[in-house]
Amino acid sequence: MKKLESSLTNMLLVLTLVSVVAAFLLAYVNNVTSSTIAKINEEALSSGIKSVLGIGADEQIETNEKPVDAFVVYEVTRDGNWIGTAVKSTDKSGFGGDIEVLVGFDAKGNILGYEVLKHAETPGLGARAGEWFRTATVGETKEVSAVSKIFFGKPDPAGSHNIVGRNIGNEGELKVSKDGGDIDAITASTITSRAFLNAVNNAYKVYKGNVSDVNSGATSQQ
Amino acid sequence: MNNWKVFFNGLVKENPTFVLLLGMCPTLGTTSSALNGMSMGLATTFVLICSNIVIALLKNLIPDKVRIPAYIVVIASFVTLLQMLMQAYLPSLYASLGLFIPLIVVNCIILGRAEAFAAKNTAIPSLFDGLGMGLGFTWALTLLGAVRELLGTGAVFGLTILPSSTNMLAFVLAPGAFIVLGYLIAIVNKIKK
Repeated sequence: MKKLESSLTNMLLVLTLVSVVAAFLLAYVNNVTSSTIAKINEEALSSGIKSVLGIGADEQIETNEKPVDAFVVYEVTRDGNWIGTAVKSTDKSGFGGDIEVLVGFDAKGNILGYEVLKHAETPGLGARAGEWFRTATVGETKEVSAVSKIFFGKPDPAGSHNIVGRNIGNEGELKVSKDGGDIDAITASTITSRAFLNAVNNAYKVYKGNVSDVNSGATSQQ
Repeated sequence: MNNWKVFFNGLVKENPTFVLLLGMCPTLGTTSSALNGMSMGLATTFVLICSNIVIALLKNLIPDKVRIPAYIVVIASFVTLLQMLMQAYLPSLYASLGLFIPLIVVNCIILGRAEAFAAKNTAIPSLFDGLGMGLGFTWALTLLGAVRELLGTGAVFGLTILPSSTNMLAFVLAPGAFIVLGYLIAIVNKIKK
């Protein structure tokens, strides 16, 4: 078969045809996969909620979802009794963009647990936020040369970086030690740590209902 | 040229990463671990094979002057398809690679092979070219990812091999990607001679 000539009609016809076929194919696959994708996202969220509230994966719970500005509050009940609240909070100032965190609180406002839902932080550095802020492991402090800092990174600092069990209401906002707080930032990832703690602090404010001072100009919808 | 020759051409002789130096963005961006490198390679292989076959079949129907937009539509459709399928059936892989999947559209290996091979050959050799180039890309990315992961975090495919005191964080970051790539290209070229 000879190649089609590049006349205006041919070009218009072929490009339109190719695009229409592509559109139909994509619409069909989207139709097939969208329900599965929605189900997977739902399951990921519900297992995240159970994990941050310390509930076993098999237990039956009811979740009442309530959006508050850019946050989402999940009030969790079992057999009609309230057992905890999880707040989904996003901070835009991460090193690689948005950091989305789910934080669980008990009745006194203690942090029961957290889960990093979405992030684009550097692997090996900021990406450790998912584990770092719940481990109480105390690192060792030793002096290292500038060259070895570049190649090996600084050794993890001595001190605590566990936020589970902390109460922002009684103890004030969580801050990294560089900013005068008592939480050790992830080694070589202060920006990630700040963004993460900011998201957690905001989650607490939303939990307490003080939404107005979370984001500039944002107001509570209740 | 027979099909196997086409296949091995992409795998070794004209390896897209080490010899043609095509598609450097995903090469450097996704290889922070061996698994990420391999997954990116396989995802690209899938798109490459599909787009090569379709373009080889359609080449006479597409007028020369609009061939690039037509090819891009074909490639972008397969990438979107792959993205939806991965999101639905391989959610954990999608979570770690999601950011890079749409970028396969602009990976110059794919448009490059469409122009250089599929537009001049029939469907079967084009399939072998896509397979060879794709797997060539895959092993290169896996090797690069494995070296960076080993030097940076002491593990390969998540299995810890070296103690954490030998970890060199620089290799997980962008500068390490360039350093490792440079050495690997030098080694591969030495062996090929």
